[in-house]
Amino acid sequence: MSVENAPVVDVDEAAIPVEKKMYYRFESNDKKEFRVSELAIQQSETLNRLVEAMGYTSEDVENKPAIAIENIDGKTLKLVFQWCEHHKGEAIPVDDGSVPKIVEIPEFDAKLMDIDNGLLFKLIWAADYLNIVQLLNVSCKKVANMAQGKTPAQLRRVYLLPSDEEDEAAKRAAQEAQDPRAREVEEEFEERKRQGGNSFF
Amino acid sequence: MTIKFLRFPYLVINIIFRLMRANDKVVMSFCSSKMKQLIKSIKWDISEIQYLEYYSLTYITLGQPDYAYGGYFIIKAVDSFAKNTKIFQEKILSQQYGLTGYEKNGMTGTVVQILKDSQHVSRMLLHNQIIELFRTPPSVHFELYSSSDMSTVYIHETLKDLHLSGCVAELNYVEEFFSKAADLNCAAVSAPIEKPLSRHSKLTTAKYLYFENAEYLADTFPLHFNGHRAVFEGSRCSYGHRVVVEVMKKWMSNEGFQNLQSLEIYLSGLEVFDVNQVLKQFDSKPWDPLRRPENYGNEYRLIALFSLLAVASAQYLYYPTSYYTPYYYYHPTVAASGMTQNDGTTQYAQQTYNQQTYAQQPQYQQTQQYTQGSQVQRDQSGNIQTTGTVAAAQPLYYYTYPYYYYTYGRK
Repeated sequence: MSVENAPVVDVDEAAIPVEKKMYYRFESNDKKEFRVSELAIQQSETLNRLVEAMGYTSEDVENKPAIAIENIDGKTLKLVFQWCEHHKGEAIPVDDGSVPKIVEIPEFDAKLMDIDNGLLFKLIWAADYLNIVQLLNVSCKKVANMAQGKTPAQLRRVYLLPSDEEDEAAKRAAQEAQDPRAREVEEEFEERKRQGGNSFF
Repeated sequence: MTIKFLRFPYLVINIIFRLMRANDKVVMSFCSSKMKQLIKSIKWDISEIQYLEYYSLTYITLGQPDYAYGGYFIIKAVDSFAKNTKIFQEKILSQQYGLTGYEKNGMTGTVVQILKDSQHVSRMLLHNQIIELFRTPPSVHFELYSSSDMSTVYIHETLKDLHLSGCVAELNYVEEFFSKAADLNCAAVSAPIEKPLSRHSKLTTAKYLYFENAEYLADTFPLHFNGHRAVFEGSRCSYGHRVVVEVMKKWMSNEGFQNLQSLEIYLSGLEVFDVNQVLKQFDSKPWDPLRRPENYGNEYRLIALFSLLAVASAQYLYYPTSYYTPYYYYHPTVAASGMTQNDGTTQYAQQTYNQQTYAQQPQYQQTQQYTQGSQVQRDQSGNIQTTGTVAAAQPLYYYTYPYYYYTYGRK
């Protein structure tokens, strides 16, 4: 199934499915609305618990306002629901934290994640927030693969990792911004030390 | 294409690290102190680190070779770094490393170039950098291919498990290699050795010793072994009977082999070993089933597997249920151990009485032996006498590490 054919449907262009399945409505923080099947929602532990707690009937789903997901934008949420629809009904992997599971990125997922890194970043955040274990695994695997065969300098560039000097400078700047007096005290202490005084007081 | 790695929640960072190959994680730790701390904080699943010195290259394998998240480094000593190599400089001694990615047969690794002038320091620091990343350091094995240049071999002082492989090795070469370990734990030699080893060889100090092509080594070398367990495979032992008898006599009289748990000599197939002939050499008697249950469940499997012709093991005397229990199982008498009895009774009478006592109170006698590790007997008045230490304390983990190492050595 291609990304285009995935059964996530925007409200304004969607035809309501004929099947008697329940489709929940969700709204992103930029007011885009999505209809997602009950089975697809089960991939997300957060959403599954939410809809269970709400106890909506078929009428409620249609009549009540869409469930708002306030910290995920429409573009990211579309990817998330496309993934959920494609993988609906699949078993959710259980992670006991002992041995890392071998994660392979399926073709559909690879195509879905063929996006810029900014959107991938948001997708991982969304998968973590919505607790979609397998989506989190495959997206993290993609990020882990970025490190393959790289040197420290290349890794710093790809992952935007600060060097020790940059870390130190950032820390100092943060301290100064928080307490300008602290720097003065430190300088005064250094000055006294240079003059040979053992005690600050 | 960049991604803000450190902006991810810690849980996500943890997952990314767990899905990352081990060598990439090590390289990431070179990026900054913060990254190093972060990697130290995650849970690593590395079973072992294996060094292989093969000609001029050193391979460091993290985890098992077929493990999905393992990885490896290839260390290459060079006069100057190749063009287009990214140089990484560590901060402790400002050593430089040239790093490049490497991929073959689906396994990715990192090639590390080090300068020949300072290669020992560079190797040491790299080893430390890797080991420091683990909260519980994994076991480290070092394998040397026998044609490699010994002068470039660097073995960290903490390494205890060494393996010599490859083609025929000279005696001095073998000694020099194993002498590099201060405290030798496991020594495996799969390369044939040119000349017989001396009685003062470093290999006699190894706790666990394995020879894949022992040839004529088993003629004398077992007599000088001071460790826990030794395996001599592919032996062409001309004096097999004599070796087994001498080992047994020394052990029974407490003159040597105090640490010995087992000694195994596998003949190559042409030599003849008659167990009955050996048993005549020292006082022995058939196993008494009233004293210990007879359990020879694995004996035929063992024979089929290894063409076992001779097994002499101190352990059998206490553990008839051992995996390696041989077909003939004999228990040495007090007379064979050459000890005197304080009450002046004859050895024969003592043995007879012991047999009766064992028959009456088998459980009690077993408990005494296991707990004290010494041979306990009763005199005619029924008092317990300890006639001297017969063997070291019972090995509790006999089949775990040594057995693993044995199979490892056969590769």
